[in-house]
Amino acid sequence: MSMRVVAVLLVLTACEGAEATDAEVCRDVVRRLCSSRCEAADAKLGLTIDSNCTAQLTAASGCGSDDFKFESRSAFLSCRLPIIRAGDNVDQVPSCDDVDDMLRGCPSLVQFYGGR
Amino acid sequence: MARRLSAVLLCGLAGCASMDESMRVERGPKLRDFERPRIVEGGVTGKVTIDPMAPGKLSLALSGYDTCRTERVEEFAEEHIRERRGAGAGASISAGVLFSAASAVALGLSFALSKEPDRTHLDGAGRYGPSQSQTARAWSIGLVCFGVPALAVGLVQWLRTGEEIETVKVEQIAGQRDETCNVRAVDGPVYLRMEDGSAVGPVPTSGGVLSFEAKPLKGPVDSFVFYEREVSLDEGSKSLVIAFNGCAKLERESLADPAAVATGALLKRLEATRACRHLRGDAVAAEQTRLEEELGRRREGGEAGTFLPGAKSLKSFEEATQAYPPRFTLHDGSADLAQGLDALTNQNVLVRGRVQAGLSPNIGVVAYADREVFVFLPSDAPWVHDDFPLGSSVELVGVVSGLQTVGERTAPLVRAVWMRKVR
Repeated sequence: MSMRVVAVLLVLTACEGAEATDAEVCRDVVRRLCSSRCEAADAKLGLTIDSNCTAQLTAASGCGSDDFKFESRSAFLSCRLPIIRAGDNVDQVPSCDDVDDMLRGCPSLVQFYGGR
Repeated sequence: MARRLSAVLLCGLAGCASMDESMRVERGPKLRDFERPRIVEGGVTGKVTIDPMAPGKLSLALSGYDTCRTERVEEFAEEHIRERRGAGAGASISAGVLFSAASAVALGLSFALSKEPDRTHLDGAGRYGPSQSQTARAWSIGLVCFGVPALAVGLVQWLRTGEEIETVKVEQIAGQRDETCNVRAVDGPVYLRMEDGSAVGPVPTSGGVLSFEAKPLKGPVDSFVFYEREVSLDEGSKSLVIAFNGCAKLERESLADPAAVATGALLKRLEATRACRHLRGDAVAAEQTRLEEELGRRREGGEAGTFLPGAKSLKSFEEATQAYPPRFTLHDGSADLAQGLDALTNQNVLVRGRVQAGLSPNIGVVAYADREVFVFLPSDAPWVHDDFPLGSSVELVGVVSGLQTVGERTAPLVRAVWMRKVR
């Protein structure tokens, strides 16, 4: 009983930090996409071997500026969930299956990052 | 809010602190002795009387009594000591102090640590990981949730550890003395319980006395019942009831010729006759003689069943005394020494004396006062193999069979039913 209460308290009080800005969230997705460089995803996003992935996606999305705002933050966060299945560490490289899953489930996200 | 509720909940759990409890009693010094009179349930006694001029009518005088009991009471001081011990109080307090201290340290550190969020993690809700300060506070809360209840439990156990002593006075009955008291005549319905288990009555009493005739009775009376309790009778009254039953049997069943009846019936009638003789004396002496002569004739003829059933299967002197209730007692100083041989013949007697001689394997001489009797020892009696050395004190129950001459000695012969040594 007391262990459960302690666990609940820890979750409630310790597991949340400050909220990231929309630009930071957007750039986190760019970082994850560009670290994985999956073939199918590259094709959808119009990336080639020679492309500067980070620069291209950042420019296409417009989140290079710290003032960037999503039209719907919650919708974007929902689309992002598949690529943090392997972990929410910012250096975590998502699997290609998770990346394909995200792009397949959210066509608007493909367009957002300049894809077709 | 959630934190406060959780803290209250955890502190409430401290109330579950269990205690080992034991109770012991120590007897203290004796305070005093005193006597306490009490009246407890008594009973009903009866005294049977039969007018020799009217032996067919029995009167029973009932007396109720209480039992006055005097108890000797010793009063002691007694200490009831209740010991409570919290077995884990020490460990609980130690753990509580340790966790609480660690919690305080973590809380203090939280103010010194960075409040910057952990930017190496960005979760599904778009939030960074907790800062070092938040993490330290979370640990602080976790530790305090263990520490405070442990401390509380330990302190409660420690505070409740101890003993309560309650001193009470206790009484112990060291002895008691019962006396019959408040004797009074009692009236009420009395039932006669017959030997076959049936009950006759109720017979009313007047002035504590009831009377009834033998004629309407169809069997021997065994006892009297007053309000479902048996009326206790003294030895004299019991003898009179046996005699009354004997006379009633003689009245109910006439006998023309002893030679015509079966041996079993003959034995029973002889028994009734002997009992009745206590009441009617010589009036039945003639019939007793006729019956004994007939029985003697049958015994001499070797007929089976000429002894009362169970006479040979008696197991003790007491059983023999019950089966052959002595009419006369013969020993130094007894009042029955004056009885002549005629009165003794064919009567049950109790003889107490010393073994004076052994005349044959089954005839000995027992002397008492300035007299002696021959004692016939039946060879199949269970006690006959006991050793009765010359000069040893013995007592025996038997039936006097008249004068017997052995060699140059002549004395009454007693057929022993049971004989035993006495100190």
